[in-house]
Amino acid sequence: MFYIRIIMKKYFIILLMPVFLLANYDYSLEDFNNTSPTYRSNVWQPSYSNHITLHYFSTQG
Amino acid sequence: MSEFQYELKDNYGYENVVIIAVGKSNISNFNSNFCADSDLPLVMDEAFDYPIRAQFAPYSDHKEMAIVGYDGELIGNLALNSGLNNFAKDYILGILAENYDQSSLGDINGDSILNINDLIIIVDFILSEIYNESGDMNSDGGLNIQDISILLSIIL
Repeated sequence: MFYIRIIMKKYFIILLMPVFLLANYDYSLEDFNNTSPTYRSNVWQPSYSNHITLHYFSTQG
Repeated sequence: MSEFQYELKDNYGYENVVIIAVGKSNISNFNSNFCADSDLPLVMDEAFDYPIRAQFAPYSDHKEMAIVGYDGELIGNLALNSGLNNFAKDYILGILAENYDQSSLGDINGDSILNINDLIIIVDFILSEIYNESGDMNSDGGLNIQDISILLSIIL
């Protein structure tokens, strides 16, 4: 029983690994910066599709 | 952060790279802090579920940056607790050097080919009043008939 659990765990990890490796990111939200060229447009999709995007997370400047 | 965006474009020719600030909808001073004298886009992660942070976890803590490639895949991440210093800039430049596609102007759908499909998307963006930097062929900050004309002449 112990070995079966180990084998099942191993297969579970192998099955889930591609999900983590191929995780894709995406969102489309209104741009609130009134000095941005995309103000009131939705970013990053569609305004910056086909861009490399750098997403900076912060709660203050 | 805004200066670095200009640096990427002016010094390295990375036209199709954008830094997007992801604030929190319940933090009202973020806009005045981050966006003062900045033209970088700012989006608000909806409190209190913060779905964007959840999507990018574990790379979405305070002052973290996630770098995403053309296909939506994560190609880098770093913490900017010490600000955007030379180490951070070198790291980002290294990621861009490996992943940036120089020929993406006009290629709005990202299929590496300039054709009628890109033209249709530009027309759709113009009609919907959506700005897209890849479609801004003359870099005048807007999408209009001139961009269609330039792209059409390239395609033909």
